[in-house]
Amino acid sequence: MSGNWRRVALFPFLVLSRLAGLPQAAVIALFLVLALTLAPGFFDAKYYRRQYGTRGLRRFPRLEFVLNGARRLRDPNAWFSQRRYLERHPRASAIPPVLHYLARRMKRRPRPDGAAIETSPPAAPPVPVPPDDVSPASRATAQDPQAALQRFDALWPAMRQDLLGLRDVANQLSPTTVIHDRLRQVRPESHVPAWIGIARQVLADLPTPIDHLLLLPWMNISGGAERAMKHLLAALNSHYRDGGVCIFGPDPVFDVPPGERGGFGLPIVAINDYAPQADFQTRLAVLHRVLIETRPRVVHCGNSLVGWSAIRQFGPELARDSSLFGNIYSDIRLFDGVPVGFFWQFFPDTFPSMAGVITDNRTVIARAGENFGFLPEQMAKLHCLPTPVIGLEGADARAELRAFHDPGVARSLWLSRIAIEKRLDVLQRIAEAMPERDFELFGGRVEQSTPVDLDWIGDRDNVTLHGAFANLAAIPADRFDSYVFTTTAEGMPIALLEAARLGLPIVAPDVGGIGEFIDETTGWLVSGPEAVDEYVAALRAIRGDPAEAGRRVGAAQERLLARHSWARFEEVLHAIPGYLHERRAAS
Amino acid sequence: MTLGIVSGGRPDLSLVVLADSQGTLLHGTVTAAERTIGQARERGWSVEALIVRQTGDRMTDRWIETRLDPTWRVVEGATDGDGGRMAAVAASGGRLIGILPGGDLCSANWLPTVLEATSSVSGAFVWRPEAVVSFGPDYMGGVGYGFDLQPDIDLARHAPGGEIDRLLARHPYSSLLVAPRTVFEAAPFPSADPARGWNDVNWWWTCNTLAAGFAHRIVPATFHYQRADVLGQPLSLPLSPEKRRIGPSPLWRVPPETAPAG
Repeated sequence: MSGNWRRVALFPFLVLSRLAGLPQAAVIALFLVLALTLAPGFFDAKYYRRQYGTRGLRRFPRLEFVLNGARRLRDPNAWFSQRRYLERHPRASAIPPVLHYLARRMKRRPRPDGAAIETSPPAAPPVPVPPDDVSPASRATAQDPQAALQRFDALWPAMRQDLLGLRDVANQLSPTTVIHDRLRQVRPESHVPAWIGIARQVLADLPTPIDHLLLLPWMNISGGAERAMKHLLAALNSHYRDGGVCIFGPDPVFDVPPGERGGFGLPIVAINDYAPQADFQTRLAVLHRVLIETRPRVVHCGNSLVGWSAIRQFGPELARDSSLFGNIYSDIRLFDGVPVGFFWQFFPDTFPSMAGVITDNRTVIARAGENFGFLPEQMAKLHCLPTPVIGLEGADARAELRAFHDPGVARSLWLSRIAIEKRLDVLQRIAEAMPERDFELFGGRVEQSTPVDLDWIGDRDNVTLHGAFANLAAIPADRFDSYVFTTTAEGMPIALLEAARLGLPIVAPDVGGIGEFIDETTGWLVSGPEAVDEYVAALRAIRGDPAEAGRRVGAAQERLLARHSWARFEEVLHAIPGYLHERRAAS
Repeated sequence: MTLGIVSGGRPDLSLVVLADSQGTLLHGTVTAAERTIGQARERGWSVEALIVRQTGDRMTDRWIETRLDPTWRVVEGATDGDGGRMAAVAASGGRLIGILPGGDLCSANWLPTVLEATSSVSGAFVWRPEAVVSFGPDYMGGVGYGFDLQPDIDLARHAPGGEIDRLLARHPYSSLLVAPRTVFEAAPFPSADPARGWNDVNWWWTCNTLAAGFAHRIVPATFHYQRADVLGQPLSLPLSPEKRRIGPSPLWRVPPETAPAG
């Protein structure tokens, strides 16, 4: 029986009963009879008998309900409560709530499919849910496209029936064959990217909380940046005595196996520990999640390509919780002017989200200002932290300085790492121009770096290659009257500072930050990497005037004491805004 | 099972529709909501209906003011990043709380079936419809359509290592759910933080609830009809996949090798 038909039937009945002057109770009873007739199944006689017994008139439950029970707020079935309906609809108090309810049902606005909402077929019986356990089958089905299609086929009839009731308010869901076919497409399986499992392993091994996280690409390389970083690690270990600082190696070149990390004195975790073959995007995703989950107060990226890339991609978001720092040492260009290194690769776009950039020379700071147009407040985020070479581990800095002693021979020390940018080709030309002078080379090669042509050394009697050396004490400084440094790209070379400590007159090119340390009072600064004639002239001047050489060595050593002692290093480090914090309590 | 409208002074379930700027799309949502509420009430469950009005547009406000049945309670001014969910939890009285995103629809059997399910199990679960039917704005165009089954996830019982990985890779659930009030109190819905890139609060909350020990269970043969935009993105989650990130969650710290096997 449609809702419209019911309304048509109800109206004349209402009019006739009032015209007949029936008492209100009789009218209500008549209405109830009619309403219950129009809602077959609503009155549950078995339920009524069970609830209210069978004494007296209750042997005839429907009659008893109409004449008495409805008025006494007895319930007509198991699911409709007259008392609770009355609480929700106080205006229904003038008549039995059940009558109010049934009358409203007939008046309800039509459903989208034309039927009244309340007169829709009774709800389908709920589908049983496994009582105390999840259903493994459902998990398997959700993950298996073919099983999902079979489940779709099983569900479609019910879904179609359900959608028929919604198609006019969401026509896009009209359950046609078009929609059926559209939904019944095999969806590609979603694979779990590798980075998730790696990130979980990393996070399980990282300490918590982390105050200071260092992102390092490697640790066993003996370059200047790495040596500067080791000094920084010592300072951080001293500051965070109770822990809170750790190293994370996100790059593929990380070179310290887990068994060899004890000597560093702080936790070290690397992606290579779990997935040495991980590609760059995987590493970037792992690092990003690690930074979200750990939210260190300070994240310091030291030459990590993955770290710099994370700052570029997510810097503004990460900076909400972590002060982001990085190291920049020089504005290197190689060969025909190829811009290489982090200076060119990540400046200036990473800079706005960074709390600071730490370098070891002021020249690169000035270059950044000139090249990128940084504002004064941005320039204030660039910090020069001079690398310490004296006074380490409590030593007396001044006592470590060796005074200049002229050996009385023309013999120069070349000390650095053997690398393409160290311009040994220039040294070759100097040696060719000065056959009367000997040159002895100390320094190791860097694995995986661009090969350097050293074949010419075997052809020259005045050049000797000693190779890698254990420490500065292994350098026989007494044998040399000078130190020659050749290079085409530098920050502040530590080898140069160590030469000053060894008491050797220095000849070096005006490259990077070298000019900040070497000038006409502290050594011989030649105008550029390839100024061979100036090198030759300087070395002859040193040989010709040992007293002047001694004076300049003394001046260089005073500069060393002022700028490159451990005490000065700590002083500057503590003055960098936002870099060092008090230890956070473990949560 | 509790019969009637009110049980012990509070409804069995509060159904919350999250309204934002859906405008007249709310008509379909409310129609579907009233349909399933009606079926639940016919079965004797007490259900209250709420709509959370966030900082929506004028059309949405007008629709709520002029077309919404006065029996609906309107929760005003919920501007938190959780889409007003916790404001709705605070304002509602239900022992269970259901969330229906504005613009979306649910099957008629959703509430009665989930209410039946809650009465047949012990413990607190987050209940999800078995299937999500996504649909775009244009029947003819066909963009945004899809059918996805949702999984049961109970980390205490079933291969949690792989399960966690899958969960952290992609949110397996839509936004339609029912959960006991106690779940929301133990693991409050997080607030989106766009400045940090933590945008997907549904996914984030799922992770947090699972980490807190609440299993997510599907209710068989129930459906969420999820509306998508012209690009095929769910209207309730207008984010490109690369922006669907969650904030910090203890789920990441569950060690893969120590998690109990299923």
